[in-house]
Amino acid sequence: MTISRSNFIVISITMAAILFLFQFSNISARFTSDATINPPRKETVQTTRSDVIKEETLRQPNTYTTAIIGTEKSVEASMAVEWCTYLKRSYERFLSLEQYDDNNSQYNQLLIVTKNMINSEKDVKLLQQAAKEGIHIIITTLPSISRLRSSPRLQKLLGIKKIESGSWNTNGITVFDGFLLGGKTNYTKFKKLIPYVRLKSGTKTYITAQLKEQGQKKIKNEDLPPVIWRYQYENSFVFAVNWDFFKDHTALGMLTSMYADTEEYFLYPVINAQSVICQNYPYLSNENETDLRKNYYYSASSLCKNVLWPDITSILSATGEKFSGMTAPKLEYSDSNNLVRNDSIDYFFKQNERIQGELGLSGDQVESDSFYDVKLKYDNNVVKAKLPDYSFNVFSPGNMPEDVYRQYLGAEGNMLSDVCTLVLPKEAYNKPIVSFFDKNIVQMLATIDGFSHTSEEDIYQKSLETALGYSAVYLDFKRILYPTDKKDDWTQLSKKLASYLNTYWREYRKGFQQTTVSEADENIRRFLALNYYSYRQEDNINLTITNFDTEASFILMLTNEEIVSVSGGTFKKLEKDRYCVTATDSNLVIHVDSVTGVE
Amino acid sequence: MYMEIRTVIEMIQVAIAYGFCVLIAPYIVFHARLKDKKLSEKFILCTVIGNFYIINIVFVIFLLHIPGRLTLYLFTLVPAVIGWLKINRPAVRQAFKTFTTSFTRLFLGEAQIKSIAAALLPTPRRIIRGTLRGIFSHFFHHILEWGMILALIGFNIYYYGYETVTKYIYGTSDIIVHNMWVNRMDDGIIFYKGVYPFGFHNVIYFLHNFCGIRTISVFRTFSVVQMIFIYLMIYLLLRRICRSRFIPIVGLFFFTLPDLYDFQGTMRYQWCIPQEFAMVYLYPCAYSMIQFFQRKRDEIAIEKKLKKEDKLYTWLDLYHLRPSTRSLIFFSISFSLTLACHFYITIIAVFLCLAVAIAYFPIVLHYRYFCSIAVAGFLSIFTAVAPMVTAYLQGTGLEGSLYWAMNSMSSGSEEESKDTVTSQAANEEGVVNYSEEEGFIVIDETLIDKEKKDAKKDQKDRSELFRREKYKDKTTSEKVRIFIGDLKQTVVSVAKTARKDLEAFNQKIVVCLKNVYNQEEFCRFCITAVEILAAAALLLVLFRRGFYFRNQLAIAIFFFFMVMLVSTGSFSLPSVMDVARGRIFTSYATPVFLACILDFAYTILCLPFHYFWLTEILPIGVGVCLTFLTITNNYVRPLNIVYSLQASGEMLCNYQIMDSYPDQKWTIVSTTNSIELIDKRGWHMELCTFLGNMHKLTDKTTLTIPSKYVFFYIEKYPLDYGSSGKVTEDLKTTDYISTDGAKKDAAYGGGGVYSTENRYILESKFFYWAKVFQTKYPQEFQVYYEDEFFICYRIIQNEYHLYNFAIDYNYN
Repeated sequence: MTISRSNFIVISITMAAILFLFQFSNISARFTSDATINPPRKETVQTTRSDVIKEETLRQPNTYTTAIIGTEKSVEASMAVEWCTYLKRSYERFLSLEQYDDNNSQYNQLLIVTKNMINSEKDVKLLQQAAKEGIHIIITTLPSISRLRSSPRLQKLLGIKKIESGSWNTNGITVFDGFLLGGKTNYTKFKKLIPYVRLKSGTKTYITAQLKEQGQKKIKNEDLPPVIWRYQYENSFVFAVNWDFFKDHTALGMLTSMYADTEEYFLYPVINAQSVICQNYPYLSNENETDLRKNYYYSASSLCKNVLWPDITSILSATGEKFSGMTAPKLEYSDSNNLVRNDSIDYFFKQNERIQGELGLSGDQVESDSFYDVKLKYDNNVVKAKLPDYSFNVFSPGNMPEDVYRQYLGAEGNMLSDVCTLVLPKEAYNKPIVSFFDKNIVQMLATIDGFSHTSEEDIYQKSLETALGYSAVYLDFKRILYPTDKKDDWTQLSKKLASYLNTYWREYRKGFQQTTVSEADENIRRFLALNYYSYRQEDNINLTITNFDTEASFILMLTNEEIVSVSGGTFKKLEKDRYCVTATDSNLVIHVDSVTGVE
Repeated sequence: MYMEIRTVIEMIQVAIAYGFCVLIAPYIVFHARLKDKKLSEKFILCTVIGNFYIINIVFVIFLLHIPGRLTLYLFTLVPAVIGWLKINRPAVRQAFKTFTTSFTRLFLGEAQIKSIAAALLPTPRRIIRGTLRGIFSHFFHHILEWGMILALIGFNIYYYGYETVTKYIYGTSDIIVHNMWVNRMDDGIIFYKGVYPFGFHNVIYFLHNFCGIRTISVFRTFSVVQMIFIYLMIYLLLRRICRSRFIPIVGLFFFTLPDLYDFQGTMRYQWCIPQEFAMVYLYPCAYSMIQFFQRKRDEIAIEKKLKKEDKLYTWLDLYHLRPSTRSLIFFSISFSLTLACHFYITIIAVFLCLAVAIAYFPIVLHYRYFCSIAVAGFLSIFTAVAPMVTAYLQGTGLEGSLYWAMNSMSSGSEEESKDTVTSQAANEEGVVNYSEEEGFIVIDETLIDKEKKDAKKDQKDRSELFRREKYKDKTTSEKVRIFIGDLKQTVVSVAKTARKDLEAFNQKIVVCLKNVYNQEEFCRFCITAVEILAAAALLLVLFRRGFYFRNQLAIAIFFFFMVMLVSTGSFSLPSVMDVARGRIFTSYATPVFLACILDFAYTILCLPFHYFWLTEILPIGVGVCLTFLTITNNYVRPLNIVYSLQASGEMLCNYQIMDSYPDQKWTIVSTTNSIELIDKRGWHMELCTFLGNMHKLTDKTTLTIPSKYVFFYIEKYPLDYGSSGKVTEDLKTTDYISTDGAKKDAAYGGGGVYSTENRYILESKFFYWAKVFQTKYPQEFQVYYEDEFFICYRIIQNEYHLYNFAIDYNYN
């Protein structure tokens, strides 16, 4: 069989065309790649610290709507202030109830009484008076049992029918449906001694404790020790918290949920950002080879490229999360043999471009504190030289002390000069969840370790999602590159990561945006800057936003109602009676309708 | 408007479902046997067969203890399909053959789909086209009849459907009980409260389970559907009896438009209850019976003729069952259905049969008639009673109302004698006693009769003495003359006395008929007319061989029986049923009787014209004139009454909750009206239990309701329970709930707990409980539905931590 010349030419042209078409996309992508180019973001950032509503602005001694009773150092009071800031509620702090009584505001709607602030019958009477005036009361920590026992008036105020025991060993807690976002949850590993009280009719319990001996003693669910409850006293609601939820940011969501239950509807601004932050990843050097080869049969560089990257991208793509990598050029700055590898830079930056992720800079290193300066100088000299057009807009200092990086941030001529966003680890609990670090830089706290998910972490996360619609999952890859025990094995950690992201964030993905750190930064700036006013006319909830920038997100809490339509924005249902409303216009009208059946 | 529209849709659904089950399906199965019959006969036969089948299939699955939807489908469809195959064998076989041949050819590649379709499609196309053409052709050929019938039925749908559509509640408290029995059937228990004629319940159960329509919807809307059947039966019976085509429609008119009857005589048709349902089968009994006599006579004549010609085998070969036997079978079925549905209808059916039997005297005593009828009667009773006897033998006792019915029948005479004694003193002058409370009129003339008897005896003795004196010392011719004179005088006096007696008799009946009819003149007309019709028909029966006048006589006798049914009190006769019930049947017999009177006159008048189409102008004219007069004289029947048993809002909420909430996840706190309506769908807590639990409130009082959703039904204007009012007006209520009412002590148990006064107190307390509870849970405790009279609150509970509903609401 012979092939004619013309056929041969046609076949050859076809094969050449196919070859070209297959290769063209790759070759063109390489030529057009901007992987190592990243313009500085701060030039486009419009909202700065001067634009936002600050704590100080909201503190209004005569026209406050929220009175916070607590000592100056009280964490609970600080949490209440932070909550007021996020909700743009005017507030005033008082050191005692007597002080509050001397300086009443006619606009006051809420009285937050922190730990050890109810010390006398007079205080109780003041609270009763406030309740008569229709001011809702939140008691962030139940008064001591002796105080309770000695004051029937206080028991009446709190809706306590009987004090069963001053201290009872609980086996866990149950957070009921409709309180925090995420639905009903049983936490079986919350063991604590709390006072055991029985409540009157007319109370509503949001969280109860679990008792090991419930079945044995035939205790009805309704008689389990209450943890958070509400009692209608005179013209207001009195909320009581029988747990130490207010010691950290868990308080934010609790306050939101409690206050929301006093209103027909509750509309409040949220950040609306769900981020996953990979600290110290990508890793651009090849240190700790001996240990890693022992565990993985790979060098650090190969492990990062051939094992970690495929795993991470597949986990994130499965859950739809966006990649935000905090690049670690090196982790051992005393080691001058292992330099930053060009092939690693090339690989990770291009891969990052392909998945449309974001790369920031990590501040971590594994040696003594004296090496932080060395690190910053090395990064500035070596990495900057290799990536001259790449501006790092995000900096995650990790364990680097604030006084070290503060002098570099914003200073011209170094790698941190373009930073707009600081990502702080969760341990920095004394800081607000989101705030301005300085005039231009936003600092945001990681909310949870991605490789861990305890009951406390879960309730903390749920609380933040409820209050802010915000999460920042923090994955520190230093423990994989420098493992200390078997728990640091990537095989185990990747499984945990995949299951946690799949399970605990599933509900929030329905309504909240999945963002990179820079996108979260944008949302935070808008969130901190905006102010709002809402009112209801029959089935229409009208919202007016000031300091509005492009869009803003809100959570709307209803009771047995549903959103029918939103003009001037969009909405997504988070769960029953909870909606995330995104405003695209400064004036928004939400049309709601009652639910006649089961949603 | 939601419930109104929904009710109309459900009414249509129920009508289609029932219509299919009792008309279309039997017609399909018995197509080969029915196709040549008249439309009216098809209608009656299908109705009887369909209902008989449904009722007995349900009995079978229950008595075999295998109730359930699957068995119901199996036991319904399998025999029906087998029957269909057997009865329509040639046609089915042909169709099957065509079908298999076509497909075989298709698979063998001998034909294409197009040609197969061309072979298969013509048959269904022909059937559909033939059916539609048949319907339209019939309609257009009888457009006037159809138009008049549809107009009358349309008016009745409006009349009897008004309450159903506008109030959408159960019209009478009986329905709740029947609803409960059907609900228990859903649980697999028939004869829940004892053996009772369950035919009606079987039909409801069947419609619910086979067609998937809610029991509550069937009970609310089926009344209108059954009413159509009840009314059509009047027309169909008259079509059989009357010579004119249009007089049956005039008969239907008499029971539709004019305000002739006491409202209680017709009000029950607006409700779905067994007695009224059973009336569907009353006239088919007469229809079949009359048909039997006619067919039997024809058969005997043909038999005689063929016997003479020695060709009897040709005729015998023609039928497996003779037509007369078929008529008798349908009579048996109809009669058994009356017994299967309600005993009272059986009593009326017995009267009806007796009337026919008297009219057909002495033919009925001919052994060939009598034996057949006797066997049919026995079979019908056996068929109806067998399931009940089976259940009784299986250990189920009799239902209470049967004892009540029997007692009321047997105690009727006792009550009468009691009444007689008590009324003697008051009625010494024969004064008619009218009891407004009971609404009945009772006459007692025993004393007067006795006095009359004594007077008569004295008079007789005196006249005997006078006669002897008169004939004394007289010649024979003189005696003969005197005798003739006396005879003349006697005849005249007897005639006068008879006339007087008849007048007195009529007067007594007229007084009783006032319980049935609105106008005294009409009562008088009815009794006079029945006497005339009976006499004339009897006379003509002697001269005419045809059965027409016998049928007229039968109706006259039947109507006379019905008149006597409500007049037993006046004649010291044993009471068969109370007047309240009796007048329903007397009313129902009236249109048939009136139509027969008209038809009798038409027959006599038009005899010379041989009844051709032009003579129909007369009944049409009468019908049009009567309609015109009825309307112009404002004599159209006004809409009926409605009982205050349940707020309309309550029914609406029941529907909405059942539609919107998952089964068993919700509880309703209300009076007892909704218990059976929501059966198996949700839970119920009685209002008195709810309030009673927090009556004496202490710190330890706990009242929880273990379901996620709880609804509280509160009547803002508590119902004046059981009182009646015009259906066009709002339900009768007491005053708006008040603190004064809430302050009063309430009964939290006992028979009359929801009667007017206690209901007012309970609802007042309930309302103020809700107000206080709402202050404690303003977001959670929401108004779910509210109208002028009724409010429904809803609370969604945390199932793991229930609310304690026991609170101090200031009126505990």
